[in-house]
Amino acid sequence: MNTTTIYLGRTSSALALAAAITFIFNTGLTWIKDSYAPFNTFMAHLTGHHWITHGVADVLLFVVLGALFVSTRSAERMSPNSLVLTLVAAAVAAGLGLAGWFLIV
Amino acid sequence: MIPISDIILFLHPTFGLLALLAALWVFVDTLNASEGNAARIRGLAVAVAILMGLTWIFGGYWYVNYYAPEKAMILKGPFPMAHSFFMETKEHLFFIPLILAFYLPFAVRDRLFANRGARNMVLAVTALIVLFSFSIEGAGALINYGAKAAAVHTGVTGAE
Repeated sequence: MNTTTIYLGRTSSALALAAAITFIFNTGLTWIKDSYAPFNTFMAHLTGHHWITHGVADVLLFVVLGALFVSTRSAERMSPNSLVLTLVAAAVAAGLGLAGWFLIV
Repeated sequence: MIPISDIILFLHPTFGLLALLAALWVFVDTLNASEGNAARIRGLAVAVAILMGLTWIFGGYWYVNYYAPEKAMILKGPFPMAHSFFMETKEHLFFIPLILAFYLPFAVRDRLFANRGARNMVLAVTALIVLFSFSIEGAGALINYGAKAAAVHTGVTGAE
């Protein structure tokens, strides 16, 4: 296996950072809608169900941030290892944030 | 005759498990990345994205249209945590492997066999998909147990 190169392409870098931010957004949105019923109702009004709105918002944010980071090349300033670490840390923190929330509320 | 709602219910963890297995395959192939398996990795990465997308559609359709009565039953049964913790966490946690699955086809583009940085990213993404999917499949089993225990508790004939 050739291991001479260490880089992430522009799209891969951009989408990794977009995914990390989306994970945190997903957990934050869950906390807000679960603790403030009118917001949950508002989300339900948008698509017919709060969970549909939630999923669409996550995917849209991922796509929009990904496109933004591709065009600004801002994620490429991070090293590949930093991006991997950011993505893993965000996923684990967001997952624990969800599990912890529903364990205590 | 199996009702359509049950067929949809069965399809969503089936696609989820297939997505998990495909992600595991990408993980193992990436550990052994070469020019020879590059095309297969790219194909499998697309399969992970499609399968996870189907899991979202079928699971979401069932959750939005059929889950409410089951939720009410679970909450009255002996294991309400099946909804209050496991379902609530599962339905929101799912978006993490979903986004990772949508990202994967782009992460495998960077000549993995010659690029350690890209390989590390793909290994991390697929490992996360596998671990989150395992957790979600396990939560699904416990939700099913909560519904079954509630049915037995309320004396539904045949549930025992």
